[in-house]
Amino acid sequence: MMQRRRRLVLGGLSALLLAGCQINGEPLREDARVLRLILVPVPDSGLDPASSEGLDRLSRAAGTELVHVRPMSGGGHVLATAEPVPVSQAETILQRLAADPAIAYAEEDRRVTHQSPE
Amino acid sequence: MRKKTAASRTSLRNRYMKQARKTLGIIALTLICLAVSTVHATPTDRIIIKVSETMRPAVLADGALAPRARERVSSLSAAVGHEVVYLRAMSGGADVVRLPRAMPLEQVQAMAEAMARLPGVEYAEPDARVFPMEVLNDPLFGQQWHLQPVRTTPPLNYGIDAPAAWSITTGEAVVVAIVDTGILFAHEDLEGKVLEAGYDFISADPDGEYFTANDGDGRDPDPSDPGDWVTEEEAEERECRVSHSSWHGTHMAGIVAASTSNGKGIAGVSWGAMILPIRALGKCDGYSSDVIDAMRWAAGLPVAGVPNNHDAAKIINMSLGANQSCTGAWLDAVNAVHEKGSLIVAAAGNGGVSMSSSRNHVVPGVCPGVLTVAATNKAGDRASFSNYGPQIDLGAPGIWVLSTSDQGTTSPLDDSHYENKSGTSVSAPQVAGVAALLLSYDDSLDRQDLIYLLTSNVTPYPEDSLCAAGGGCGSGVLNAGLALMAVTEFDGRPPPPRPASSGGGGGAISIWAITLIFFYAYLCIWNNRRQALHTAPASAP
Repeated sequence: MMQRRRRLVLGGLSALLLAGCQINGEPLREDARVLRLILVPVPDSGLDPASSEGLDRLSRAAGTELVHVRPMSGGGHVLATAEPVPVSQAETILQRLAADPAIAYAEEDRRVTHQSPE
Repeated sequence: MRKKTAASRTSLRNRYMKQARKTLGIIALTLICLAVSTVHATPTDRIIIKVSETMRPAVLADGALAPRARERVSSLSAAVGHEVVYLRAMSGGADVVRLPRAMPLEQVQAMAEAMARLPGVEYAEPDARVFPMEVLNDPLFGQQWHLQPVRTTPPLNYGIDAPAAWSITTGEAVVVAIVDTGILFAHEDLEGKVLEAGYDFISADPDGEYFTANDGDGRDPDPSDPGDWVTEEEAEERECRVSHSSWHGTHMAGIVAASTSNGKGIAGVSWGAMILPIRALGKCDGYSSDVIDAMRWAAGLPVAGVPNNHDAAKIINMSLGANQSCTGAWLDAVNAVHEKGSLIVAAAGNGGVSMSSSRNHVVPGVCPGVLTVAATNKAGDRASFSNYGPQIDLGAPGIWVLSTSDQGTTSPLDDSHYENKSGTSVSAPQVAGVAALLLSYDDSLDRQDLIYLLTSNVTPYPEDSLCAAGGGCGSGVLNAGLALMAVTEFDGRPPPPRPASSGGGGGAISIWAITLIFFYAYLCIWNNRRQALHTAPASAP
């Protein structure tokens, strides 16, 4: 009787481990999207995000290819990732950019909504 | 002996109970009186007083203020409990005296009655504001509860009392920028109210398409609203909500400055003002970068690739928000706009959450120096959906506010429709409208003056409301009449000192009054008990 119960427990544990392996084998697909961001260079830093040289430098800093969307008011620039990036990587990209001493700040160009719910 | 002592104790207890009931009755009556005394009507800061002929030389001697007149005025001050200043002589032998600030008519009436009871006074009455004989003929004005005078007895109506302000100004020569979804120029009730020099700031989407803009191109000088409807397919693809076109910008514009007394539709808060329409929201809303550029441009700051704005607005309404803290680009832009001297009026947001937690922050409402508005209901309390917290400066009606719209569910039908909307969105433009009235009356007022006048001349929140109980709704409900009466006080006398801290002061006087009443009641009970203890042995049989 004891033997049978032990076998059952072992069987159950094996099944659980197998299921775990199955999950690890097929990781959950994460949503990916184009990250649009606002970037402001430090004045007199010589960094021009609109130039190909500046963009190369920023892409290297971000660890992903960036494209220049348009200049903004207040000395800022709107940039975007050339390809969709996993949502979880967005914060990492922004942090890597912010670590560059030539960049005053880099933040996500978030969506703004009107405040009258339907 | 024991029996006798027990009887005397019972008698004492009965007396205490009777006394306590009486005191409670007095408290209840006082509370009712306090509640009634907070009924507001068109405010005034003046009283007309006539003294008897025999007393007259004591006030005026040969047309000048008599030597003893100041003493008499100080007796008036003592009678009404406020400092009264002699203003001028009137025709017919009466005089006008001025109170330290505008107060609700009922309160001034009570003061006038107190003056009339003084010896030698023939009569005293409030110098009530007189409205032009022009009667508003906008057929839907009666449905605009938010514009009506405050009524603190059932049926409650915590409106902003716009008519009281209109007796002073209607907002002429002021430009109010509305950063929103654009405008329907053809609406019958916006005719002649919208500047053509607006701009469309919606740029291309990251994929190079003009989905958000929905007008086939990026930035251009046409801020017309082509509609912002979202189909199921689009909602899925773009991760936003399915919706009909909102005509949100047109609705906000109507609240601020709809044509009034034109026999059509509704009345606007500041119907003499002009709207500068700036489009920054489209399908699936908009990008921070576009809204920030629009905000700077509204204030007259340069934006690369866009012609300069020659109609810079001193008041910018932003009935919008993004869920993030005020840092980086938002903070820079808000500071730049403030340096330019423009006031930003922003919606608090509709999460129904406290903005004291940074995860609930909504920009630009949480940015320093922005005038942030919560939504209130007819009962003068915070609307359930309205955000709240220390960043809120004041409340304004935010439920079922009627304004200009369109019935087109996708593209506009240009049918000059009117629609009710709720949200902190509709609260903000009422504040922007009253700011425009103030600026129209006195164009020397700066941003800080406007914030001070708007937040310190409000209708206090009802004592039993969430807002009065430290609900994070700011200083009170917007009151156009009181704000305008306060700005007239800038004529010839200094404004009252600014409070050390803003917010939550609305019910302070009443709370003090109640505390004093309870303290007084406690003293009465304590005193009676002391007397009873002294007299009890003697009265025992």
